[in-house]
Amino acid sequence: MRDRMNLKGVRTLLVNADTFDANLVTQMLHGLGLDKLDVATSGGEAQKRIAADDYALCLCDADLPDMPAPMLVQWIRRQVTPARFLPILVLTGYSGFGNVTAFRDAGAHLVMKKPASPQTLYDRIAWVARPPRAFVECESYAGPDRRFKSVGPPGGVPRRATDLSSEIGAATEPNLSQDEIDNLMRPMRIVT
Amino acid sequence: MKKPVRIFPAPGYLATLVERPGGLPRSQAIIEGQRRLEAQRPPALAVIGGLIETLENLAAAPARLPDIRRAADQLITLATLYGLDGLAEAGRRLCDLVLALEAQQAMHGDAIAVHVRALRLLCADASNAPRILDELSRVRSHLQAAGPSSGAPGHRTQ
Repeated sequence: MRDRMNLKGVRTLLVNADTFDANLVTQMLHGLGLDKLDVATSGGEAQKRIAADDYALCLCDADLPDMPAPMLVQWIRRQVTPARFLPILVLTGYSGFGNVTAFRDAGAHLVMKKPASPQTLYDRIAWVARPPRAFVECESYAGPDRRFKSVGPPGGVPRRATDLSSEIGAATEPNLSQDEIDNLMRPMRIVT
Repeated sequence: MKKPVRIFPAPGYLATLVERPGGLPRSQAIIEGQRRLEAQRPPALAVIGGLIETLENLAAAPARLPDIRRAADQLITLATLYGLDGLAEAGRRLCDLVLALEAQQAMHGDAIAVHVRALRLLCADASNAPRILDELSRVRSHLQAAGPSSGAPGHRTQ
């Protein structure tokens, strides 16, 4: 859990067609210290704003009037500009939470169910703001790597004595880059 | 030719920004967010009243299930946010009913009207919530006994 976050100056786009709901989220975000917030009331307006401005975070309602919200997420991910890396947090209502896989497969970072209290908003933003997940681009998908959980052995499976302890502590060195990992995996012929 | 899969580190612009010195401690930020949310309680209660009125109008001509679901969804969000638990629960039950009706392409105007009436009663006086919710459970049991095409909600969306 992050104890402190500096949200001042974090340019954020809130996409929500419901003006009252958008106002509530805006009030909460201002309370959390976020001061640079733009509101788009449709998917089309969001596209225009994203094309014109550099945003650091996007909070998108799952129910947009002019397009399915997963389509907006996919559009963002298929941009050629750095906008395609935009962290996207989708807020969905009670009846729409079954669509969570549609948003994940469109490339959203996180889907959260409304109502978003100040506490859940803070914690979810903190989660999205962790050092970023690897980005995947292929024909069928563009977005953050969907396989990011480290869950250990399944329940009921005893650990072996030779397994590492589950408490492995914090990293002391930076992660390996993809090139370094590739080099570790690359078989090479040794000429003697 | 198929486009190759590219996996690469994404730039962590947001991570860099939030790590800057300054900003509010988590506890203080949440308190301030809660304070601002609480300041919106009177207009939120007015919006809830408006949503119930909308639902009453929609229930009179219940051919527009997605509209009913959307209004009920908004009501659940606001009621939960402001601690109106009975109202939120009745809204969830209406949502479950509408989702089931949509899935089965069925219609049960009376059951929808009963749920909307329950919302109106709970909005006026939450002290009767256990009894009203119990009555809604009886409606649900009745629909389940009537068979799958009656719009009986099978399970919660989560």
